[in-house]
Amino acid sequence: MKKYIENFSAYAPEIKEHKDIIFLLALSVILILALIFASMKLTSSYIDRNEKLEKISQMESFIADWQKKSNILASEPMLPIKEEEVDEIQTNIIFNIQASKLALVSLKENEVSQKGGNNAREFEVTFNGDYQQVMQYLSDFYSNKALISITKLTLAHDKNKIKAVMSYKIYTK
Amino acid sequence: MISVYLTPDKAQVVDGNLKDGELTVNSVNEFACSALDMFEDIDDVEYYYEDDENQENVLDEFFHDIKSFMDAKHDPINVVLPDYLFAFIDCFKFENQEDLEQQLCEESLRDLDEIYYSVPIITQPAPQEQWGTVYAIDKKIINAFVDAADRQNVKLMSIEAASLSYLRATGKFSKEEFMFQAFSNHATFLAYSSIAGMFKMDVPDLCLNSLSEMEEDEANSIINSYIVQFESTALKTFSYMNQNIPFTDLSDEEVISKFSAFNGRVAENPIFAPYIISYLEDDDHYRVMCSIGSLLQNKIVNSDLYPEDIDSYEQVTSGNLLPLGIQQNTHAFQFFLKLKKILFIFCGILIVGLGAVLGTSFFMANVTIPQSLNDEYNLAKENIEEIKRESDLIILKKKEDCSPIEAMAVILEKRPKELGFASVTIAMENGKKKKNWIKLKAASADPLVFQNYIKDLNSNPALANIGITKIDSNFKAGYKAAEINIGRSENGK
Repeated sequence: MKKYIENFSAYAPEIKEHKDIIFLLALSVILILALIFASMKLTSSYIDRNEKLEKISQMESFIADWQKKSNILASEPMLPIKEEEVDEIQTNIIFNIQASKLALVSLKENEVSQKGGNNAREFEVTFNGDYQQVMQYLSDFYSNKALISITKLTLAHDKNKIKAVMSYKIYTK
Repeated sequence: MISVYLTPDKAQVVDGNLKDGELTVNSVNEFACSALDMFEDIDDVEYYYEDDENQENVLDEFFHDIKSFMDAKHDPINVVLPDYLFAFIDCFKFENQEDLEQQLCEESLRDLDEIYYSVPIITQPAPQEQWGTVYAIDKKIINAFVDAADRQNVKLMSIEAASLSYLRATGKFSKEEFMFQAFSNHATFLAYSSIAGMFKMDVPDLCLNSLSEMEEDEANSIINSYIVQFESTALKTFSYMNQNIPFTDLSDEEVISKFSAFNGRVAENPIFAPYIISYLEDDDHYRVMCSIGSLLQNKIVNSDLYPEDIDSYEQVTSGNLLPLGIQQNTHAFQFFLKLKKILFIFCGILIVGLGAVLGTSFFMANVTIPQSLNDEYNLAKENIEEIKRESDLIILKKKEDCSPIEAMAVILEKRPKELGFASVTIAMENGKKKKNWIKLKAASADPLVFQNYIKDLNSNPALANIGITKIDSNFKAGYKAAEINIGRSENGK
C-alpha cells in the first residue's frame, strides 16, 4: 500500500492523461458516499423493521389478551346493563314480587344513586309474605341476566309474616 | 509480459509471466519482419521520423503486427536487438561515472549526445578495480522505436541487447563464454567473462551472405583469422583467460558446426535457468534465450540467492536503453493500468455492496403491519376499556353482594329447635363482608342454647368473629333475647 501511495505521488502529474482513472476515482468516491448513505438507510430500516415487528408482536399480544378477556366476560352469567334497561329490570323485580305472591310494601331509589355517575343504581325494596315465598323469591332474584347484587337484607317477623327489607344494586355500563 | 527479439529477417515474440521470482513462458511465436532494414544506414534513420509525410514506416508495421500477439491491449513490450546494431559493447575499468563516460566517448568515438548507453554488468574482482560493461546505441535507433511505438499506441518497457538477454536466460554468470551471432548481412563475436564483463567484435565479413559466396577453404581461413584476432583481443581484455573456450551459436541458423575453422569448439546448447518454467524441450531452449532473458531484467540474481551461478563481486542489472522519461512513462502507464484495474474491481465490489445494502434495506423497509391486524387492534383498543369496566363491575358486584341465600343456609343449618329468630340482617359493611356479615336477633328460653348455637357455628370454617353482643330477658314472655354477630373467615367467599 505504501508503495502504491509513493507511486501515486510520483505519477500524479500524469493522471490527467488517464481520464478514465479520474472517472473511476470519482465513481469510487460517489459509490462510497452512496454506500455510506445506503448503510445509514439500512440501519434506519433495520431499526424501523424491529420496531414494526415489536409493534406487531405487541398488537398480537394485546389482541390475544383482549380475546381472552372477551371470552371470560362472555362466560359470565350476569353482565352490566345499559342505563336505559334499568327500568325494564325494575319492572321484572316488581313483577316477580307479585308473581311470588309477596306483598310489595315500598320501593325507592337511593339518593346517592340518583345523582348518577356510579355505574350502578341502588334501590331499597320492602315486601312481606311467607317465609318460603320470601326465600324462593330471593333464590330467583339472581336469575336475571343483569348484574345485580343484594347489598343488604333484613328479615323480620311482622304479624305472622316475614317482612323483608332488601337493598340491591343494578350495575350499568 | 511480452518480449520481442528482432533480427534482420524475423521477430520472435515470447509471452511470459514473472511471479514470485519464476518466469513462466506461455507462448513463443515468430513472424517474418524486416523492420531492422531501416537501420542499415544509420544516417537514413533521420528521414523516417522527422519527415511528417513519412510518419508510417516499417517499425509502425512491426508494432502493429506485435499487437496481435498481445493478450492484454496495453501490455508493455521488451524489445531485444541484435548486438550488431549497438554502436559499442565493451568492458573497461573505471573509477566513477565521469571517468566511465569519458572512456566511452574515447573508445566508441561517439559523442554522448548521439548515443544512449547502459552499464548492466559491473564487477569488482579486486579492491580498487571496478569493471563496467557498457552497451551504447545510436539515439536515432531508440528514438525511431519510441516514436513508432507511440504512434501505434504501444508501450515500451525496455530495449536491450541480445547478448545480455541471452546471458540472463542461462542464469549462469560465473563463467567465460564466447558467442557468435551471424545474420544475412551482419556477424558479431561476443566474449563474456565474469571477471571483466562483455565485449563485442563485429565481423561483417563472416555474415551468412558472404560465407555462402566463399569456397569452404576460403571461409574457414577467414573465420580462423577472425577467431585469432578475437581471441587476441579477449586475451588482452580478460587476464588469465582459459584457452579454447567453446563458441555458443546465437545465430538464426546453426553456423558454427558447419565450418571446421571452429575446430570443434562448439558449445553444448545452453538450457534455461531453473527459474524459467517452459513447455519447450531442452534442445530448443537456446533458440529463444535472446528473447526470454529480457523478461528477467527485474529479477534479483546475486551470490546470496544463487552462490553457484554468480560471483559475489559481480552485479548484473537491467541494460535498458530507453530514455528515463520513457521508462517512467511506461511505469506510470503500468501503474495507472493496475490502478484502473483495482479501481474497476473496487467499483464493482462497491456496486455489488451497494446493491446488497439497498436490497436488504428495501427488504427491511418492506415490513408493514397487516391491515387486518391493524383493524382488529383498533377494534380491540376500542373494546378493551369497556371490557375492563365491565370486568371491574363484575368484581365489584362479587365484593358488594352479601350472598343472602348462603347466609340463611349457614344460620339455619345449625339452628337448634329451641332457638327462634326475631330478625336477621345480612349486609355489607362498607363493601366488606368479613366482620359483620350477619346480625341475628335470636330468642330462646335457655341462654345456653345461644352458646351452643355459637359453638356450632364456630365449627364452620367459613365463619369467624362469631359472638353474642347482647342478651336481654323478656320476663313477661319468659324467654331470653340475644343479638349475635357473625363474620366471615379469610377462607370465606
